[in-house]
Amino acid sequence: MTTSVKAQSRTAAGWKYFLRHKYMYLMLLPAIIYYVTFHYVPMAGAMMAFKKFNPMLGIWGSPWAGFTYFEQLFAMPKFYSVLWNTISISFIRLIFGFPFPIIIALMLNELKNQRFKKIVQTSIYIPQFISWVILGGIMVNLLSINNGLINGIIKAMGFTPIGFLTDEKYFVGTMVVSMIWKTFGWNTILYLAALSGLDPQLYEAATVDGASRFKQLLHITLPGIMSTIVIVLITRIGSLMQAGFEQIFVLYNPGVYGVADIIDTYVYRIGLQEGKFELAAAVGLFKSIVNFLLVIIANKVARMAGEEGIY
Amino acid sequence: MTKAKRTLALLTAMLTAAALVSCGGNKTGSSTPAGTSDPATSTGSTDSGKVVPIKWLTTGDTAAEVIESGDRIVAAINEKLGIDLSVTYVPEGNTEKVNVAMASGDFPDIVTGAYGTSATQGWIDNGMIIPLNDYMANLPDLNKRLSEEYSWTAQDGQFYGVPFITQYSSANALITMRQDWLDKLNLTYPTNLQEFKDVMTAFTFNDPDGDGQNNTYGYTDVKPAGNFTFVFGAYGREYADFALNDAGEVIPWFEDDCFVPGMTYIKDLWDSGVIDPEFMLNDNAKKEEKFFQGQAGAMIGALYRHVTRIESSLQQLFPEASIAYGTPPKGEDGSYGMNLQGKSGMFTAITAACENPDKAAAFIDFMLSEEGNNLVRLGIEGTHYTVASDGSIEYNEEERAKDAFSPNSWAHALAWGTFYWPLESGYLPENEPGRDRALETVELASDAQLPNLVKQKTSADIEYGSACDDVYNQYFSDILTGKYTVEEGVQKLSADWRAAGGDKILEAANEAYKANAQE
Amino acid sequence: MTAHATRHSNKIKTSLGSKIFDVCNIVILGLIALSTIYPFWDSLVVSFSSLKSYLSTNFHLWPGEWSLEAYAYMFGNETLWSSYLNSIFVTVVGTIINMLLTIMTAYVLSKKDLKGHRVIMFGAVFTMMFSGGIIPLYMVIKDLKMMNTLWSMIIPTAISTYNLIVLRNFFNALPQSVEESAMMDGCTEVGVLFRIVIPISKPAITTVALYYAVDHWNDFFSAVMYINEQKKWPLQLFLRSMLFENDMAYASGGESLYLLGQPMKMAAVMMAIIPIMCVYPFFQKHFAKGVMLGAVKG
Repeated sequence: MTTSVKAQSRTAAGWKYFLRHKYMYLMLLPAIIYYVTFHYVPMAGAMMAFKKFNPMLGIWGSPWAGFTYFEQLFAMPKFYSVLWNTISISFIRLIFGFPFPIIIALMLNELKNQRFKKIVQTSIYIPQFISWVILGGIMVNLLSINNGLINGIIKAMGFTPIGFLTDEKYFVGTMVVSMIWKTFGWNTILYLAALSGLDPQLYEAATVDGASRFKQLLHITLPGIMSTIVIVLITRIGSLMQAGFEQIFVLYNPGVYGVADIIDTYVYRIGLQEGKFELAAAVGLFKSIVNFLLVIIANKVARMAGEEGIY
Repeated sequence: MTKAKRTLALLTAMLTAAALVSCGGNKTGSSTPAGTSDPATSTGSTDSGKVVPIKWLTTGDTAAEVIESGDRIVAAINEKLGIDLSVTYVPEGNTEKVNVAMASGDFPDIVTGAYGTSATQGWIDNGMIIPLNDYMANLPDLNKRLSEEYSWTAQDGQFYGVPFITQYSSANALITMRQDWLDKLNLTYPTNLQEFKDVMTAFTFNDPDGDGQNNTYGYTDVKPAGNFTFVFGAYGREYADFALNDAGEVIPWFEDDCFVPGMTYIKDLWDSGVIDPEFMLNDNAKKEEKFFQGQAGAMIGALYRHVTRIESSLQQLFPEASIAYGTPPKGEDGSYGMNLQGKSGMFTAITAACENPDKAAAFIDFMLSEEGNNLVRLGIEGTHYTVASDGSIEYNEEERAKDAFSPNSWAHALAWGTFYWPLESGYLPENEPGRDRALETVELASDAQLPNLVKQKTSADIEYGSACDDVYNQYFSDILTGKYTVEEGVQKLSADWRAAGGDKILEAANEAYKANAQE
Repeated sequence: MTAHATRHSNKIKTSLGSKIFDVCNIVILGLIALSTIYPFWDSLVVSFSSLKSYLSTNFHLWPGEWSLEAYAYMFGNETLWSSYLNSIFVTVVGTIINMLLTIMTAYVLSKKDLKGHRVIMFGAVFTMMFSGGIIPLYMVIKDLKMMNTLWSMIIPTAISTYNLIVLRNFFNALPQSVEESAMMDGCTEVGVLFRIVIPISKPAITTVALYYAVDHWNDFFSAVMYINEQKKWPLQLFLRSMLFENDMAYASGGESLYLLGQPMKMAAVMMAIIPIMCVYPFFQKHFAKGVMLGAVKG
């Protein structure tokens, strides 16, 4: 009896709370409809990883296949080697690629000449718009052993030319550097936006106190954009299983498969695109689970450190 | 926490209501679907009683012109067959779209996908497409294509669709060289492997471009592992897909006697530095570019209609240059061969959702017929072309441009990609520049084609084929770059190839081979 | 007055180290900018070159021989213009819808005391990692009768969770005091969003809008999947289809426009990226402007 009264009053309190904020909840409604319709309803498709899919029966009606496709996936001859490549390429890219846009944003922030700043800002984001197919062609030209510009310089300096794209020792480095080079400008924009949100009064006060530029950077600028840094870091960690299919696919070759082949390229090459939907779903689900666990951990750590995190 | 849950439940209820509304709302934003009947075409065919709509989803010919409503070729087909045809071309020849549409239950009446893939096999296994056997009897051209030309594609006696294998009976690739370099170095187009090596060496080290620099290579190729089939052909490779051992069993082609000496020869070329060391970075365009730029003196050129283009592109930088091509170099016993007979292509079927399969089958039959082919290639006589008194054809470009014909007397959008390619049909407009040369290259290349031992793509091929090819490419590259010796490499290759599913491929191939032999 | 202007108008003598830093900073950023401009410049030059001058070198700094053939060919194609219109429609309408939904949602979810906000945010984040693949989404879009309409390129991507997170993070960072004082003055929560939060969050909002706009502009895959009629193709798909190269083009003897060569390809690339690049300076204006936080506070 008492519990039901309690529950009732709780319901009433909840209802009252809801009514007081009804416009706020109303504003959430379109987003909820969107996520349910275009994400949660289709998410049932992930079930396909456990089904013998027959379109005539639908995803739900198809017979169960258990873990068949996961077994197939894990039994693939190169699975562990490509998994390792995926993780290591992603990880190296994270280590070097994540801080780079922040450093560039901070450097841009220190520029006095606004015109120069604008020019630099505009140019660094250009590569983002050029697809890997086109950039790949340009890279092959620039890095060619025979007549590429870069190896031309290396030769002129008296060194032996380097097979940036054909030598296993250099391939991953070439991938990571070019990947960073293509995307850093685009990622810088976000930090610049965060920087422009900082309160000028803080800097004024610091200058009056005689704080050096470095000290201002350390005590005002960095803390000011820390939450942005953290959310970018968490989402980057959560995409660890995405090691950059398009780029690697354009530039790799059998000579460097040993280090360059990632899950996505391997699975593509051995014919997943031919309509093996169930296996594709299994690969997707495997990658999702890894990414998901990483995000959970990263977010937890961030929240423990006093940050808001991404949820 | 419970409060939060209640709030959520409430929101979900609201959302369900709203979702219903939103479905209705979206309708206003949508416009007419692709299959809208065009009044001009449907009025023309009143005599056949009822006009049946036929929707056709195909990857078709990616480079074709757009079919506008009111296209007179489509109208002529509609009138002839009493149908209302609407064609949806998937951009970029993207078979994934076709596969997804079919897997989502979005069935057209006729569908064209990739032959011999998991997707199309799934259509058959899951009953998404219907057998054509019942319709073949009255449709001579369909019957001819299936029971004569492609009789081996039947599964348990049933023909589920019309296959069209690319490079099934013709080929167009030949080793293409710089004739001007050959002349300058006093050489001729190589007829055997020894001469080939001599030419490559001269192209690399004897300064064929006369600029005083050592900046040329003999030969370049494409990723991932090049196409050195002509070497194995000279060492006696007989078949495109497998080989036969002495006991008459099907074995992988690289276990044939041709492989070790062939591979040794290629490795020798590679080690002597006459092959472009970065060929594995080339796509087709890049390979041609290196040839046009004078970085390499020979490549495998896809000729036929490209013969004129390749020569004129080469002459951009070297106006005096010309190209040479010919029968691939022969081995000591005179054997040669370089083009593999195709095993994949397109597959056109009638779906289970088709309400008038007889009309759909009649349409496919028409597209396979001579009448149909003349219509989509030449057009309507008197409108799109006229036949002069001497029998030659005159094309009316102005009228052709009004319908979906490609410029320069080329064919209608419906002509290629599904049932024919120009190469297979030996088709070239009569006024095509360089026509004779183009046809000559096809003759030479087709002569050097290696047939398949087993015509079918078995289900093991579909399942494991790409993984096994991948193993081969990896070992080819590893042997070439010296990671393994030839003998060591071929042994490891055999083992790994089998482990990747090759044993199942062999089993199925042996079975199919024996069954074929009994017939 | 921006922070920098204030700082540098200060006549306190700048140290030598600070000067050296400024010089290095300019040099490094200048070099990086040059390296990022190069591929664009190379492509631009090739698009204006004749095939001959393209082939004559692998490093293109200036057209050896000018040619407008590639552009003339492109401009002569009617489908180009309709695809431009489609792309502009998808980008403009799509971005407006994106921004409306994302701003509303991010604002509500930035209220840390609002019950249920974390659950919903988690629900959104979950979709970043898990998806059901293309087939069920295709079915949903078909059931909603969005097949073969431009809406299929807009509605299914109405909110990007990443952008939602970014914007919510910016809203989170706004000082609570500003909003509270506005509430005191009689603003409702919704009123605060429109009168205070949006105006002071311009840099964040423009950033997110830019991200959305570029995503819409570059999207071709949803058009491949959901659009059947060529006259509804967006620009990217039209250009890709013109330049599409596959082995089939070599093996079949079919028609193929790549015969026109690299300059043509690059002209297509330029036509796709120049319009969206021109949008950037317009957005950039809003990053440079300092935020009027101080003014609002005062």
